[in-house]
Parts: sequence; C-alpha cells; structure tokens
Amino acid sequence: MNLNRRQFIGLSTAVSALAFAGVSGTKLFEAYAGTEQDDAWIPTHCKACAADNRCHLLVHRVNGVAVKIEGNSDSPTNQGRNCAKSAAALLTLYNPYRVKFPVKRTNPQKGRGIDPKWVEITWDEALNTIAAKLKKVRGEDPRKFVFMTGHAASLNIDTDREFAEVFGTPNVIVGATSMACGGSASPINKIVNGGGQARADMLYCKYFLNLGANSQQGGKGNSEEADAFVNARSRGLKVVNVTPILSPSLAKTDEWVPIIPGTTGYFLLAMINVIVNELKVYDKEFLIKRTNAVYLVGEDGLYLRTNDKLKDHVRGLELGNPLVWDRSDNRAKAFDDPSLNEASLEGAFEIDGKKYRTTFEVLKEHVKEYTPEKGKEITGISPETVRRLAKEWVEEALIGKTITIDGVIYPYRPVAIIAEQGAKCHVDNYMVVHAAKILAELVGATDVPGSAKAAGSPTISINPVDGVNISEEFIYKPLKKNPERISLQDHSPIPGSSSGLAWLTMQDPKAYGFDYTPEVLGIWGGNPQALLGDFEQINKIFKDFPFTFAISYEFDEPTEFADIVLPESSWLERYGLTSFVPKTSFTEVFKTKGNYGWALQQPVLPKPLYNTKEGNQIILELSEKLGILNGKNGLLARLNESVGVREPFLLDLEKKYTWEEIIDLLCKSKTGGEKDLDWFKKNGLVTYDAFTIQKYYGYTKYPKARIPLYLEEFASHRVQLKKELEEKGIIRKPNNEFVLKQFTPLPFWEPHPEHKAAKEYDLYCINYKNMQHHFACNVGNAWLMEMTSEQDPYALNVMINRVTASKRGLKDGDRIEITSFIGGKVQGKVKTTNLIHTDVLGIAGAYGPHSANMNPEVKIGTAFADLLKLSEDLINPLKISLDRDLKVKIRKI
Amino acid sequence: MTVQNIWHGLVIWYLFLAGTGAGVYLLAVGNKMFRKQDALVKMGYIWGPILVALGTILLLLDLGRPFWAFLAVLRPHASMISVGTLILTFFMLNGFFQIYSLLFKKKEPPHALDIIGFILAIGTATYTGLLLGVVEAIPFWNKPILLPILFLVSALSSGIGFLLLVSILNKNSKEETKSNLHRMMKFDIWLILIELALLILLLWLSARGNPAAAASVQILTSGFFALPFWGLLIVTGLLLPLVLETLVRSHKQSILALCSIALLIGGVTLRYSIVVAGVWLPMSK
Amino acid sequence: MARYGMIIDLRRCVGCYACVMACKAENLTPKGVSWNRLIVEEKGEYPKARMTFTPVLCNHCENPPCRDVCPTGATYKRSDGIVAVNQSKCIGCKYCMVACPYQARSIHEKSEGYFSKYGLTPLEQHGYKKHKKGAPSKCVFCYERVEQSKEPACVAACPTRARIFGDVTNPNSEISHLLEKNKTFRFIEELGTKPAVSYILDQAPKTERG
Repeated sequence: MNLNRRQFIGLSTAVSALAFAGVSGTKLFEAYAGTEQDDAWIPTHCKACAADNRCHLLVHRVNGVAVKIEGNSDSPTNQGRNCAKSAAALLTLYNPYRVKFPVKRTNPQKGRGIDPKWVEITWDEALNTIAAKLKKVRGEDPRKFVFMTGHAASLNIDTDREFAEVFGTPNVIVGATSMACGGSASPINKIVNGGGQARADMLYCKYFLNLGANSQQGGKGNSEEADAFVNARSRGLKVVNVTPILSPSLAKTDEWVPIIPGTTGYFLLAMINVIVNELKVYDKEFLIKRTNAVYLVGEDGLYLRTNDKLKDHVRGLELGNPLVWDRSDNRAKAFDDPSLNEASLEGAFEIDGKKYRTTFEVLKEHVKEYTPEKGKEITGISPETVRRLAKEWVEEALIGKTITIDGVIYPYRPVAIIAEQGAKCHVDNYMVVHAAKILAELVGATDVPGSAKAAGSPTISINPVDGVNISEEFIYKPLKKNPERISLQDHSPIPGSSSGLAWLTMQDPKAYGFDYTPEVLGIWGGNPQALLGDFEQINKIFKDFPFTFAISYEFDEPTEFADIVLPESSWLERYGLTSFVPKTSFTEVFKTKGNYGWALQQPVLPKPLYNTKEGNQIILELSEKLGILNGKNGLLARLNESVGVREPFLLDLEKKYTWEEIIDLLCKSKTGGEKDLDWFKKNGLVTYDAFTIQKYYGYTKYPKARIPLYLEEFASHRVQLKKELEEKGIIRKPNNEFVLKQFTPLPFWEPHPEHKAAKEYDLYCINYKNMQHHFACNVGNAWLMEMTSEQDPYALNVMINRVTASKRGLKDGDRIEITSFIGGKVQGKVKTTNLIHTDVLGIAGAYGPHSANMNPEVKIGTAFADLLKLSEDLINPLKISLDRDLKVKIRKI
Repeated sequence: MTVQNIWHGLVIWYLFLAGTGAGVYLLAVGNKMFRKQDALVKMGYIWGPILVALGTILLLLDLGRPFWAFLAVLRPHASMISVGTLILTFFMLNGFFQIYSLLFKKKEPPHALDIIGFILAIGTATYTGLLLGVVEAIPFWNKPILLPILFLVSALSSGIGFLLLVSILNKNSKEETKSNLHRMMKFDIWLILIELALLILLLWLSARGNPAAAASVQILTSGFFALPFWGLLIVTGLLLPLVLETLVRSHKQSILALCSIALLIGGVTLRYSIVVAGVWLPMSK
Repeated sequence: MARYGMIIDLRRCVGCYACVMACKAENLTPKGVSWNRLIVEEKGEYPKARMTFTPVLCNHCENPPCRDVCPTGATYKRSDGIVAVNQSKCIGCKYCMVACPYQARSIHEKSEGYFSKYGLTPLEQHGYKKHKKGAPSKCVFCYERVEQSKEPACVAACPTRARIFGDVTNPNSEISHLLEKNKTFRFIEELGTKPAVSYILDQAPKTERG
C-alpha cells in the first residue's frame, strides 16, 4: 500500500482518534515530518503562572517545532531569565493528553475518574449543540446559565464576564481561585497600599517579617521577585518567618518561629499589644497625619461627626466630617479643619455627655486581652519571643529616620510585614491582613521606602467626607430581598470578587431562596475539586446539570463532567497583551530600560498543533451563533468598554472579528496608534519611561491619603446590614450573627473551627506551595512532574516532624491514612523532616489529580484538597475565603 | 549518600562466571602443570573458556551499545575495561584453540598454550577485582590490591565448586577424577580461610575508613543486603563448605553436591555483596 | 586558550529548579536523564533547621575519572576544559557512570520518550537526534551555546543569578573576580579531580554582588 503524504496524515489523524478512544500503542505524531525550513526566535509573554504575565520570553522554533523557551533579555522584569515552569511549557504544548479536537461524551455516566469515552466531533456540531442549549435557557431564564471560570495561569480569560452579561446571566462564578488563595487580601491591600497585591520594598527593606508563603518566591515564584529578594538579602535583609512550616519558598531565612496553624491573628494582636501598651514606641507623626488614628469614635464604634449631611458613598449614607480632638484648643474639630493645631492621638474625651476615644485609644484597649502569656498556649510561641520580635520590629523601623531619593525626602522605615497564603486563608482572613497592616502603620512603615507597599505604582482614591482611603470592594451595596446571583453576592453588602458560595447554593438552590435552578454549566478554567475539595458535593453539582460544556486545554476533573468539550489552545498558541511596571522594587533596570510597558503573548507555531482554538475566539464564535455578538447590546459593544480599546480603534459593532484582530486594535490603542500587532509580533514588548519614583511610593504620590488604622466603615456596615437582614427577612448560613461579627473595625482573634475539633484529631494538616508546581495547571506537565518525583524529597509526600514521627513509630516511606476533622480522607507517604512544626503535617500543592484521561504519570502525590469540606462555618463570609487549615488524625497502613 | 545502582544483575553474573571460568581453568591446568595430574585438565580446557564466554555474553548484553563493543580495546593504557577486554579475548581465543586441538585434532594442545592460558586466567580472575578496585569514587571498592586477590581466591573456590558439580552430573566420572577433586576440596579449606580473612580485612578497613565505605559495610552487615550477606555468603557460601570439607569424611554424592552448590552460591553472593554495596563518596559540605 | 568554569553562589540559590528545567529544555535530554540536578537537604535541628539547595552538574574536572576509565575514548577533554562525550564512539559499558564521583552522568536505555503510549512528540523527534540510546551522557557546559558567545542554559535561566560561568584564565572575567573575592569550595577535591565548578557556601558572609 502506497500512501502519499496527505493520505498518510489523514490516516494518522484517524488513528490518533482511535488512540484517543483508548486504543493504545498508536503513534500519534508520525505525521510530523518537519518539512518547513525555519529557525526563528518568537517573543511572547509567559502564562505558565498567574504572576501577572510579567515574564517575557523568547521561543525558539526550528523547522516548525518549538524547541526552547528562554527569557527575553529586552525585558526589564525577568531580564532574560526564566523559571522552571516556563522552560517546561514545551511539554504543555506537546502534551498528547491535551484536548486535541472537539469531543462529546458517549458514556452517560458521570463521576470521579469515570472515563466519559470521548469521541471526536466537528467544531460545527460542537458549537451548534452548545448554542442550541444556551438559546433554550436564554429564552426561558438566562440566569439558568452558570459560567465557571478560573484565573489560573494557563488561561487567557478576557471575555467571560462580557459574554455572561450580554447573555443575561449574573452567574459568572470562580472555580476556586480567590476562595482558596491570596486574592483574599486584595481589598485590604487596596485600602491601605493602593494595590491589590502588596510587596516588601526589596530595594530598601532591612527586616522582613513574613507570614505564610514567601510573597517573593512562593507566592508567584517568578524570576524578578526571587532576584529582588536575594539581592535584598545580600544587602543585609533579615528575614523572620512566622509559619508552621519552613517550606521551600521560606528556605532562605534568618529566623524561623514555628507557629500553630490559624493563630497568626493572635500572634499579630499580641505584637501590637506589646508595642502600644508595653514598649509604647510608635511613629506618632505618621499616625496623626497619615492615618485615622486620631479620629474620635463613640461607644458604638462609629465616628463622631459634624452635623453636615454629605454624601458618603462608601457607607451609602449622608454624614458629616469625622472629628478629632485638638489638644491645644481642647475641643473637637473636623479632621480637615484648617484651624486644627495638634490632634490628640490618645485619650478619652467627654463631649455632650457622651464618651469618645481616639481610634488609637480604642486599639490600645482592644488589644490588651491579647497577652503574649496567654498566647503561648494558642500560638505555641513563647512570650519572650513575641516581646523580642516586637522590640526588633520597632527598633529596626528606625522611626524618625529619613532617606533622600532623587531629591525627595522620605521617612525611611526599612521594615515590612506581609501576610501571604497560609496565614490568611482562614475564616478570619481579613483580620489577619488588617492586623499585619496595623503593625506596619504603628511604625509608619506603609508605602515609604523599605516598607510594604503596593506591588507597582499605587492607585488610591480618597473619601472626601472622612479623608480616608477607599477600597471599591468595601462600598456598601444594599441587599436584594431574593437572591439572584447563585453565589449569593447580592446577599452581602461587600460581595468582593469571590463567588465561591455558589458551591454551596447549587447543592440546593431552593433552600437558599432561589426561584430558578441552573441548567447549563459552562466551564472555562477553574478546578474546585483540586483546590476546594469536598469532591463528592462538588461532583454532585456538576453531575446534576442537565447540560455542561467546557472550553478546556486538558481533561481535568471538572472537564470530565462536560457533555461537550471545546479544545482550547495551549498558552503558547494564544494572543494576549499585558502591561508591566516595577513590582517589588524600582531597580536600576527599570530606570534604564523604562518603567512601564506592554508585552504581547502570541502563538509560537504558524498554526495550532491540534484542532484547537483560543478561548476568546471560541466566545466570539459562540456569541455569533447566539446572535449576541453585534449591535449596541452585543459582546463587541461590551468589549469596547472592557478590554481597553480606545478611539479611533474601537470595534465596529456590526463587524465580525477574530481575537487576533481585536488584539491588533488593542496594540494600537495602547501605543497611541504607534505600534500594531505586526510590530509586537516581531519585537515582543515596548517600554516607556512613564513615571518617576515619586509616583512609585504612596507617600509621595498621595500626600493627602489617610490610611485606615480603624475600618470605621465596617462598624457602619454592620449596623446597616443587621437592619437590612432583619427587614428583608434574609437568613445567611450558618447564622446572621456569624456574618455580622466579621464586620469589625479592629481585628480580633478567636479559635477557628479546626481549633475546636475533637481531641482525637491531634495533628494539624496544612497545604504549602512549592515553586516548580505553583498553580495546579502545571501538575500535568510531564517534565515538571518527572523532576519533582526524582529531585524534590517533599512535594509528593506528607511532611511530618521527625520527633513527632518517631513518637508515633513512623519512618520515611511509611504509608499513612489521614482523616480530617470534617471527614475528608487521603493517603500519603511519610517524609520525616525538621522543617515543620511538631504538631503539623504538610502536604504540597495540588497533586494527585483524579481524572481518567490525564497522563497517568502525573497522577501521583497526595491530594490535600480531598481532606477539605465546604460549609458556611468554614468560610469567611466577607471575602468568601475557605479555611484551609485542618485538624487531622493519622493511621499507619 | 548514594548507593550505586549502575552496575547490577548482568554485570555481577559476568564477574562470577568469568571468575569461575578462570578458576576452573587455573585448577585444572595448574593440576596438570604443577602436579602432573591430567585427570581434570579436559574439564578445564572445555569449561574454563565456555564459562568465560558465557560471562562475556552477559557483559555484552549489559552494554548500552553492544554492537560497538569492538571499540572497547582502544585504551588499554588507561581503562581497565580495555585491559579486561584484551585479556578475555586472548584467554578465550587461546582456550578455543585448545578445545579445537583436543576435540577435533584429537591431540594434546601445545604446552606453551597452557602457560599462556594460565597467565591469562590469572589475569581474568584478578582483573574483575581490579575493575572495581580502581574506582576511587566508591571507597568500598577502591582496594586495588585486596579486591583482585579476594576475587582470585574466590574464583578458585567457586572453580572447585563448579568442577565438583560437573563431576557429579557426569555419571561416567572416573575414580581418578574424583580423588583429584577430593584433594582439591582439602585445598579449598585454605582458600576459604584466606577468603574469610580477606573479607574481614576488607570490611574492617572499610568500616574505619571513609563514611561512604562504612556505609557500605553497614549495608552488608545490617542494611538491605544483610540477609544475603550473612545467609548466603557467610553461612552458606563459606562456613558450610568449610564444615563439609574439614569435618565430613564421607564422599557421598549428596554431600559433594551440597558442597559444590554452596561454593557456587558463595561465589555469586560475594560479587553481589561487593557490587551492590558500592556507595559513592558523599557530595555534602 | 580559555578554561571554562562555573561558580554557584549558594547564598543566592532559592531552590526553584529553573536550572534543572533550562538544561532539560536546552538539551532535550530523554526521559530519566538529568544533567543538572538539585540536591535538597536539611541542616540543623528543629526549629533551627534549614532547607539547603545544592545544584550539581558535571564538574568538568581537570583530571576527569570518567575520561580515564573510558575504554574507547568516547569521553574526551576539549582544549577549553570542557569534558565532552562523542556518543558514537561509546559502547555503553557505564564505567564512566560508576567512576564519576559526582554522579553527574545518566543514561537512557529506552527511547520511548515521555508519552510512551503516543510515540515521540515532534519536540522529542527533534531533540533525540542528539542522544544515542544506551550511551551515558552528561552536562557539556552547553558548548554549542558557549561557542556562540552565549551562557550555558542553566546560567542564562537562573532567576537569582546564582550561577556565573566564564573563563577562569581571564583575570578580568566575573568568575575570576568572584573566585578571588570569595571563599569557595569544590566537591570531593581529595581525589585530585580538580573540578571546574566551585561553590560559595550559603553561610558565607553577605557581600553585595552586582
């Protein structure tokens, strides 16, 4: 039999389809002949993690094959370097376990690890089937369509919300991120530092108090931040980690203070107590001028205000200006009264027969109960250590010292505190982050050289009524009587960005008061089974949808519940455009190469390796089929507002675009028409000198900003919310008091659910990050997994303290079963270590995926998430952040 | 510290077969050369080269690129593998010529070939020890004098075991052959005692040497290879034949068979023990 | 003639595995073969314990035991000091693997690639041309890159610039400066191998480095 090349390719496609259906031993790639003659380096930005696409790469292509990924030395961020995840992305591209063409299931049975028995279908069949189902629910009630997205690394999700909006559903929900991750700190970071993420200013910092994963490495693990961190250490930075585990990202430390999981809040409050009530050392000038520490509050916790009726849009009320006590005049004055001479930082005052105190005074009283002595039992940290650290903190802060940078004098406060994942993924997550911010504010170490500050240039807006910074996410929104959003976000005055409660409501929408039941689930990223756990409940939700489609790169667990899967191109086959500014320090490189720029993400092969499309392209095509692409209410009209195209490059509402064409318009918009897509394709990135160092520090960019020490809006919100809940008859689970309690102007600490677990659960179990597998989407990469299983002694095992292990007769390699206090069970292999608290087990990352059609060689390790359960009393109701620390018992098997 | 896992199975059996082949040849031809006894010589001519050839086949099978094996002779001035390849090749060529004369020409092979073969057989038995003995990276092996001698002594002992086995399996064994073999067994008492002494010396030197060498000793005495080491090497391979050869007067077939099997097990296990317990110098600072 | 060497500053190594993966990607080494490894260990007792990282690779010894034991001359030393392997001359006896005190060599004896069920990917078809089944291989200091005046892949990728590569005979090279200014150590020097890879201890005093 003689085959010409065309027939041969056709045949092997057919054969590979068979291979897909389970016929093994077939060579998928025999069609590859490598006939194209080329040798090119293609610039693109990285998407191997969610480090804000800051790493710029060059991909070497030889004869049509991408053969190497390197850092782009033009980049001021990664400066030619690249991490393991980006280098390994070649196998993300050439992964034969990807979704390679549209498929539909032939096995009606859905469940964990059950093979859906996919068969190939055409794009037309796939899109038409999905469009028909969507049209039907859109006609009935568009809210019945729930669109689950992720923000994970491997995805370019730019059109999800716009699509949902023009479709008419409020139900865009997150798979897991934000609920399981550090997004939980962003509103506090915004209100204090003016940016969703906070970082220590690594150029000037000398003392870094780190809680949880190291934001410089473990958080994102990107080249630029790790480099800034080791540079800071070589300049004498002292690093103190207060964590239950000294995980890989924390290896470079000068001191390790092991702490019992979930007690960081107590530790911080005890530190604050020692500083304000024992040491009495703080940056008075900063507190008086740059915070709301001097504002007066009454017994009800609310500001004492002037009698004006000004519109306060944060609280949704008409209010006067807050008052402060002028100690020279001995009377209260508006905070911005020009005659104000010397505001009192401390003290209680009687005004009109009522007692008022400064918020600082309230803080002093509030933290008194958090004694280091009582803390010993709670945190496991000795009172001496707390006192020593508090002393170090105020001493290293160099209160009163200044530094001159580019001719401008700044306070020099080279101490930074950051609460990262681990420390803040708890029921009290806001409070931990808030307490860390208070500790920084006490010594004036906020947004000045050497302190924690916004990652990048800050953006702050100030409430004109009280003069204090605003966080968009803290603006009060009145509640709807009956919930519409499946995530119950309309049953919270500050719904935040996390829609994770959908995983509870969808179990039984009627019980939560919904007058509709979701019928179509769209999946575009997100992996709740791998990160939130409770797979039985979540899988049941997935199963109960009459129709599910997925836009997916791989057959992860959510995708395996789909009826139709649309193959999404790998991130090396997609378009995107992302900006960058200095993030963690304003280094010389940014001064010479430019401190603001745009970088292109582009396909590195002439056409996708398989029959795949970009997710955004799929959304455009699906919209067209649904008839919601064009017109003034169409998707293009929404994209004109959201993606950042500007006149004269706006999308023509009556035209059809490819995603590539939209990116071209975006390129032109962002560069004032100077550079188009073709220019970016060749050059990769453009940099500008856009701002000075004064605009990099909040201290100089917003000299009028007042940082809240005391979140008065929470006290106000609590009053309003209580009223609304009662009036509208809304009952939040587990109970309204649980929700209301979290609206607290000052952080408190009380035992978490895990601390109250039954005695037999005698160990804690925590989840930590490692750098090579940061983000669950990298677990499927065969190179990374081979390296991890051969070289990382910890990642795929369960870490247990050596002393604890020997007490329990455990040694390296023993298999144990772990049962969590909420009923989850996993098995794992013991790795004894000195790097973990004696009462704690440590499990890394999001290993051990369960889906049937993933590469069997990556389905190893222990799945921490399988220990978790979802219930309202484990979830912070303000930010919908899941408490991911557990109490467990173990058994040798 | 890392235990070497590069050389195992096939290489170990090669070391054993080449050693035993060389031992068989040395005993049989030596018996003729020094004691003018011809009873065993035919067995030596035939089995010596055959065992070495079998070992060589295993060695070839262990090569990553066996078809290029002929290149192995290029660096005899530096590499023990080149030296060994040459010794093996010449020993086998010499042996096959001797077999050819004996079986097809029906005449005694020239005496000079006996001397050459004898020297090459010593080379074969000692070189297998030297192969390991020159590896400085693995201190337990790195005994370039002790290891070759130990391997030579062990080769002779397992040679005796093998000759015994052949004579038992051969129903037509002559009385003269048997009496020669009984004498060999008395000789073997000394071999076993020397082997034990050398082994103790090896362990003693290693235990007080580099930590890596000490780790090797630990592997054998109480680690993952302790059971084969004590059970198969010390008890079965050395003490049992020693007891049988010194205390038991009977030359019953079953006793001889037991003794021969025990000697062969000892020969294999000795090489297994030394090879698998190889630990690299540690890379820590 | 240049003599190439490398310094690994363990004070700067954060154990991110970028070097390991850069090496894998640059050399497209087959499954099971890793020329560049990270040794992760622990020092000290709880709670003063620390995790330590030691990246290891071929030391390009001045007196390489792997070359000495090679029966065919497949392993040889280039005039620039790089120890290289001519795989077509190799018979796969693995003596070099045993003899290398740094365990820097690895071998692939099967060539199925990373996805045995699917055959070799186009990437592997491209990359495995360089690798002969059954022949041990090791780091070659990326001499093809070095010949094009580029740094070895692991050096170029290292996010924290913990690796410095250069000509130790050139007194003006960064590596020469670093060797002069810092206390360095090399592994298993007692065998007289004279490795070309030196390390700066993590506990070494902090000195600013550009």
